[in-house]
Amino acid sequence: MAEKTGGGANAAQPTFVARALTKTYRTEAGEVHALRGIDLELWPGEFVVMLGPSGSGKSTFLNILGGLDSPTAGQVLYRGADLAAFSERARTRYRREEIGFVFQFYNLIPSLTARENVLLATEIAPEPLTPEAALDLVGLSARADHFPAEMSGGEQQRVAVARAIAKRPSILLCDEPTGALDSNTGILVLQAIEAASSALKTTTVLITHNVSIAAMGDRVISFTNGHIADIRLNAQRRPAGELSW
Amino acid sequence: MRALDKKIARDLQRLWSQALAIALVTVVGTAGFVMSLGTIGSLEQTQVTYYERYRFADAFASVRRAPASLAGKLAAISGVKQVSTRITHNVVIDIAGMSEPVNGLLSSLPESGALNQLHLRRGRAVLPGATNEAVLGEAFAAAHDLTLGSTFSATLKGQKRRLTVVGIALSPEYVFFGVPGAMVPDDERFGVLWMDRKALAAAFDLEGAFNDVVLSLIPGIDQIEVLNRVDALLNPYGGIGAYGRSDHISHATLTGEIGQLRASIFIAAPVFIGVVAFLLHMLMMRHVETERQQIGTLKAFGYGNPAIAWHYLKFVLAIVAFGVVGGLLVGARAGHAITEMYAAHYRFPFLEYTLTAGTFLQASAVPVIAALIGALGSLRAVVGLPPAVAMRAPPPPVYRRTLIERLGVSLWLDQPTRMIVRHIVRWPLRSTLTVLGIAAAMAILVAPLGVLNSAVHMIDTHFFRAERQNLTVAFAQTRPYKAVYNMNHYPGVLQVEPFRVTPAKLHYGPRARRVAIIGRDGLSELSRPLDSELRPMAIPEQGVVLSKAMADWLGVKRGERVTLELLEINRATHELPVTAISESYVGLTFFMVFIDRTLLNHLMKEGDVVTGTHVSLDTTRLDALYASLKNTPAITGLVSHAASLTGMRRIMEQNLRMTLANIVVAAIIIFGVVYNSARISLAERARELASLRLLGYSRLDVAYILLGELGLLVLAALPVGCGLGYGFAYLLTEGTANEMFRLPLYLEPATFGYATLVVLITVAVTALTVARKIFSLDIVSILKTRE
Repeated sequence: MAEKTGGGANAAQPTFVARALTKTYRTEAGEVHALRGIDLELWPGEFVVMLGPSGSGKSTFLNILGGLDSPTAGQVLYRGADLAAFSERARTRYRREEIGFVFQFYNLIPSLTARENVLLATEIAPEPLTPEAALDLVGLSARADHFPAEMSGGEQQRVAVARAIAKRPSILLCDEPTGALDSNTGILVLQAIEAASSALKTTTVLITHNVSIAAMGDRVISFTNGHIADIRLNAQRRPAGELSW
Repeated sequence: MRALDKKIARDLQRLWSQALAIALVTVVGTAGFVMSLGTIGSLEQTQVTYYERYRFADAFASVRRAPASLAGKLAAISGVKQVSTRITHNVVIDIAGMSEPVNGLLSSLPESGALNQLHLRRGRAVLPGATNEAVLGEAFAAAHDLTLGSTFSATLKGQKRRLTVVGIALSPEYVFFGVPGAMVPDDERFGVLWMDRKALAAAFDLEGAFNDVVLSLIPGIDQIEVLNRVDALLNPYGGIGAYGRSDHISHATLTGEIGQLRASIFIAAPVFIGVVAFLLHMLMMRHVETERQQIGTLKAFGYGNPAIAWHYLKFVLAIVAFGVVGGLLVGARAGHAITEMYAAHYRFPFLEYTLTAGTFLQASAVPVIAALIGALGSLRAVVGLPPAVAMRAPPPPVYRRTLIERLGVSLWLDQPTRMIVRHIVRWPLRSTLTVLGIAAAMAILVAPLGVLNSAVHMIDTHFFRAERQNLTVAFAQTRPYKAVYNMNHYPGVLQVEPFRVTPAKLHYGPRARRVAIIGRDGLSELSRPLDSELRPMAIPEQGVVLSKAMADWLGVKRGERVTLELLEINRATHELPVTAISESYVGLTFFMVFIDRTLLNHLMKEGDVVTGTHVSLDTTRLDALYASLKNTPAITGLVSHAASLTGMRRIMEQNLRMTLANIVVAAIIIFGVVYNSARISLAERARELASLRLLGYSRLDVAYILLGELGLLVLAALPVGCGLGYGFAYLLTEGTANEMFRLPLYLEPATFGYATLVVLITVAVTALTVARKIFSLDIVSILKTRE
């Protein structure tokens, strides 16, 4: 059971409250229980690292938080509002204004330059950063006019981070952002996420297989088989630049 | 089944909707070829067999009155195989229950062994010497419900005679019988009939003589030389010029029709091959791209390039095979239907749609060629892919700033629009081909409508500007001008205009053409030639006015002199200047020569005579007028313009039905092109679109990127389609044009609007189908899989 806690937490209202959250997929092979009753609060400004083997439910949980998926039972409240009750239009608006997503694959638009990829997000957001500021946060100002095909994987992922945070989201969700990268490049990307999240004071959830990364979070939540197996507080967050694997 | 073949079956299942769209286009194309090739084959085969079996003549000539002994001299001309003389005459037929008089072409029954034999459908030939028996042309008999034993009246040289139908027959000479260029026969008002020769000789004072002769020629002989020698023999007896099959109305019309079918195939085949090849190319390039790693794996296992290429070729051939089989079934049905339509227009003793193995092979060769061309790119990609490279993910496509952007002009576009523009520019070939595919489909709509427009325009011009009379009355022989005054006294007659027609031959340099020269009085109200601006022209007192087709054919210009050879009287020749050129429309006014009537009478050394009148009428009194005219023996022919117009309208309706079929064809092609383009774009760009959804773009925003691109391409295709359609319409009308007939091309603006509407509706329906796919994109699974 989660308690009200967390290093960067500022007390008032939790960003997310999950109650008895369950997700079941029906497949040809039978029912798959991805989440089996998750209870959890996430706090404003908190940096949470989620660990767990494949199929443990962490990605499903992240997708539900991001409005990409909906629970089978239980609920998730975002600042008190039930996400499941959101209409398609409200979900789109929620993603547009509140959520920044980073995936393992960069998912940049190949026909747009780095700046234009960021513009994609800023053009539809109410109070965005300038694309230059967002690219500056991830250390890529110099590459603004390059197309994805002209950049390395790490650079592309940093553009993806810039694109995710340019709208000034209140939540930053990262699913294996370094999964496709080598250690040095991965650390550059983590630094970008770290810088952006602290600059914008986002509630950040980062999913990883890589235990070494856990040290950079306020809290480390371990998933096993659709349950939360363990929640651990880091007394002291380690800067991403000091990590290695 | 081998594992790889199972893979083909499952791939087809997975890509069923795109494969189906291509198969449908293939069905349409193959069906079109099966139908057209089969019909052409059937028509040609029937034409050849019919002509041969019933000894259709090669040359034809009319004469005023030639002694029977001349036949031997004609037969002696080198190159002539057989000569058959006969008696023919125009008659007016009176049928009970029909107020309007009917024009009949009466001929003497061919003797056995003679040329132009009849095919007797029912009954028997007339008995030798019978003066009151007739064999009727089948179409004419059917139009009036005349059967064996029915009776009707005909006026033979001023004598009304009651005739009994003893036989119903067909003749190779009248496969088509009607006004040249009218495209459909008017079986109600024009009929052919045959009577005993002796009876006709007695009726027309032609005992021991003939007034018409047909000849068969030795193949390969110089026809012009023979015709000249025939003319030389007939001239002293009032010959009005021999002509060959190419000037024979029935033969020329039928041959023209086959020509048009052929022309439409020559237009359709490349379009069809292009569209199918393009669709397959797009599908296969994408298919091979997604299967890179599988191809790499197969190569690593030791499958050779030929085996893998064959695997993908089989996939393509499987799609096309569906189309070919479907096309064969649909095409055979359509072939039957269209052959029935021809059988209704053209009178053959037998006309059956037969699908030969050859036709089928030819028709299926076309889609197979398309398949091979379409597969080429992907097969090259498969063969050229080294296994080690294949196992890696493909490099991302390289985009550049568009030219305008690089020139420093910033595009004031939002990012989604920028994505659209860059994507179009990034794949210029595909974008161009998509545009061309849609344009081709549109052209398929525009072209036949354009032909229809041209026909309506021609009719409008012909009947409402040039030939405005209600009725044309032809006299049996020249009559004094007084006859014109007499016409005024018939019931309902409002206005009468005289004319004088005589057969003539017009010479200019080495070229010469037989033509009916028309004498008219100055500026007419009813029937008049039109200038190039379609304004009525007065006939100048000096010289001749030539229709444009006539002038072009001779190669003569205004102001130059032509030689007029009057065939009716001792072939007197006169040199006359061409004083004006008139616009020529349809066979009816195609090869025309106009002259002042007084001048013509002067040249003919006759007084003030006429051979007929154009009449405008109070149409409410038509029945009374017809009743009077039927009892006027001096009248040999009547052309009701209302009836001609009705006949023309009937063609329009038939063509309209063909147009509906064209809409279906065009819609299927547009659907095939747009649907495949959209689905492939969607497959390629799913990740981009999902990313946008993730960023908070709505489903509509995302659909805009994909469908907006299609929209731009469709917009670009519209003018191209209009232009292409105009070009196809031109080719079609040129394909139909022959010595007797040319349709001037004229396209209504509404035709383009209408085709645009069909394109837009089809695209909208297709877009909705694709939008559903866009709306149901699974964002998570797309973004979390490696490309």
